[in-house]
Parts: sequence; C-alpha cells; structure tokens
Amino acid sequence: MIEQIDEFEFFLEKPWSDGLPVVTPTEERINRMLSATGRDPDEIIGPIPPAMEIATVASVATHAVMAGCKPEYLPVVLGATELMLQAEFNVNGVQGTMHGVAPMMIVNGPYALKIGIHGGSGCLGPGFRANASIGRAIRLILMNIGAGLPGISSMTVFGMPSRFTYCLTENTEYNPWESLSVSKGYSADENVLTMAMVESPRFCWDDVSDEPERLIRGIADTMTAMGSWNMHARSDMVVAMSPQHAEICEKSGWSRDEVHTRLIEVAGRTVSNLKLGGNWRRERALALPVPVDPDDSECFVPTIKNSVDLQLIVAGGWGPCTAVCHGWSGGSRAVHSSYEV
Amino acid sequence: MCSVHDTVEFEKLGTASTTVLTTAFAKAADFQFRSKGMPSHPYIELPHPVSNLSAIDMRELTLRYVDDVVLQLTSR
Repeated sequence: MIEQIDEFEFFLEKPWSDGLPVVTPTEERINRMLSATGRDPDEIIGPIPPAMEIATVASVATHAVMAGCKPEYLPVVLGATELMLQAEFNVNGVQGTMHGVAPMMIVNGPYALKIGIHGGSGCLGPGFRANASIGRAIRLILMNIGAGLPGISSMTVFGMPSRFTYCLTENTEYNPWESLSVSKGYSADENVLTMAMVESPRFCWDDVSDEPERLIRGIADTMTAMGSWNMHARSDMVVAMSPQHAEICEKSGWSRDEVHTRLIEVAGRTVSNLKLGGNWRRERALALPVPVDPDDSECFVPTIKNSVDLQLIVAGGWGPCTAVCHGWSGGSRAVHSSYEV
Repeated sequence: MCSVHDTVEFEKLGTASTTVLTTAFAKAADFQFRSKGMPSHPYIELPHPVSNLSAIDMRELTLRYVDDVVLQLTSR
C-alpha cells in the first residue's frame, strides 16, 4: 500500500519553501499559470546567482504557482525576474551579503491596478494577495533557483521580514503628484517596474507638522543613521510618503521634484556626528562620490549622493507617516524598465 | 561572492587566482566554488572581522598571510 504523501510537508522538508507552505506546483496549475503569457515556456530568462541555475519562463511560472500567484500576476513576476538580473542591480552580491536588504518592487502603470496590486492602507503588510504572492515568487526564485539560502550561500545576519515579500504600487487615488515611473520619463500608461535593494522600512511618524519644511526635516532625520550604509556609501533609498504627508507639501504648492530636492538637501549628518559610531571609516568617506573632508568636523555628509538614488513615492493609507527604506553598501543600483503584459 | 566568481573565471582563462575572505564567508565560498565546478579550489581564510581593523593591524594581518597567497598562486 502506498503511503499518502502530505504535499505540503514534502515541499517544506526539501526545503523548497520560505518556511511557509507553498502551493503544490502540479502540471495543471503550471499550465494554467503559463496561459497568462504568450512566451515560450522554454525561453531562457537568465542565470540566478549564486548557483547560476537558469531560470526559464516555465520555472518562473512554477515558482509563481508555489507563491500563490494568480496567472495574471505572471507578467509582473517575469518582468521582475528579468529586471533584477541587470548587472548593476548586483543580485549576486546581495544573495551572499551579511546584510538583509531585499529587492523592493514598485509597480507602476495600469496593469498593476488591473491585477490588484495594492498601494493603499497596509500595502507593505499582510492581506493583499498580489503584493504578497508576487514578492514571494521573487524570493522563492532567489532561494530555489539561485540557492540564496541563509547559512549556506547567504551570510545574512538577520535576513529581514521584507525577504518574505516586498511588492507594492503607489496610492494612485490620493497621490497629488506624478508617479515614480512618470518622474523617470515613462508615460503614465506604461507598465513599469522599479526595483531597489533596500531594508525593511522604518517610520517617520509626524502628526504635528502642518507645513512642508518641518515635515521634511523629520523625514530627512529618518533618512540618516550612523549604522546606515547610506551615510557611508552611494546607496539607494525609498521614501514612501503617506497621502496625508504628501498633501501637506502639495497644499503649500510644493511639487514632487521640490520635495525630492529638499529631502536630498537636508538629509545627512556632520563628520563629527558620524565619527561617534556606526560604519564611519576615513577611507570610506574619502571614497564617496561627493566631496567629504574627514578632518572637517562640520563637513556635511549627505545621505543621498546622487539624486537618482532617492526613490520617492506616495503610498499607504491616510495617516501621518512616511516609510523610509535604507539601502545597501553601495554595490547595487536601483533598476527600472517597462514590462511585457 | 563576486570574488569567487572572478577567481573561477580567471582560472578558466589560465590565470592563477585565489580568493581572500573571512571565516564568516567560508561556507558561502565553499558553496560557490562547488556550484561553479571547482569544489576543491583553495582560498585564504582570515579571522573575522577585518572591517574594523586599523591600518596597522590590517598591515600586520596581510603580512601574516601573504606567503599563503603566494603559495596558492604558484603551487598549482
């Protein structure tokens, strides 16, 4: 008599999951997933570091099934898999790093709304299938095809909750400005992915400010920390303003560009402060792509070394909160592209 | 991780190469060399960490291991 196999235990024991049960990737489910793309299942997407096993449309679809994706999510998963393999994104480095940054996916354009990617209340937390499963598919690909496994090929000290899933869109209903993708030169009706290697967010909770300058000072403070790699290398950062915070700026006549510029101007710390702890090293300061005099205690070290590194979005529900996601150690550049639907 | 990949690629081109890493990355290096088809490739394993060493301490550490680097590059 054949003993019945518990399909969930089977995948959990392999281990082919992120610690949570996966949807069993039967042929039927994979074929249903593949029906959402006209691409050849055997089409090569690329090697996933560090194992460099080759991801194909079919293997990406398999992981989309495992993650719990609907078939209509597959174009986003395929687009993200392709995008994250761009050399400057440096998945290879992040897969092995002691740090815990994860590829945050900001999905803009009409398709994101059509398939239900959420950008409102709770968009970085549980409860939204598209957000949860699309990001999870990417993590399962990184673990199973790339073998990015903690303690084996990944030396991450803690990992991060965002390594389970990290996917959202902007709050299109209440965003008073153009989207991130439009700010990068895409048209509003293009389907665009932006990915940045960043930490889980920390909040700037400000229910006092009623004008932009004070609000931005508080957000800028959250953009700095002695132990943040953003202070000691050129690194990306995501700042997600809630609609309430964005409205404070917009009602005072500030454009998205002006907020972006002002955040870059005021976010930073002096040399004397940075020397007190964290990752300060003289050699690192001298290697920065902005002029820093390590012998000038009042020299201002900006958090953002290049304006393209600040990914400013409007997301989340109504409330006095901005989420700030710090970056990695200078070895990864955010990437963006349109994706095929 | 990039260092291991570079070492493998140099070796494939016929240039002797080795990787210098700290003990915290030894498991990752073992995995990477294995997955790149060079499971027994030697590397230099330094005590972890090195990022908080002073310039003087870093020089002393380097001098302690430089002969091993030379040996690995010339003995194969």
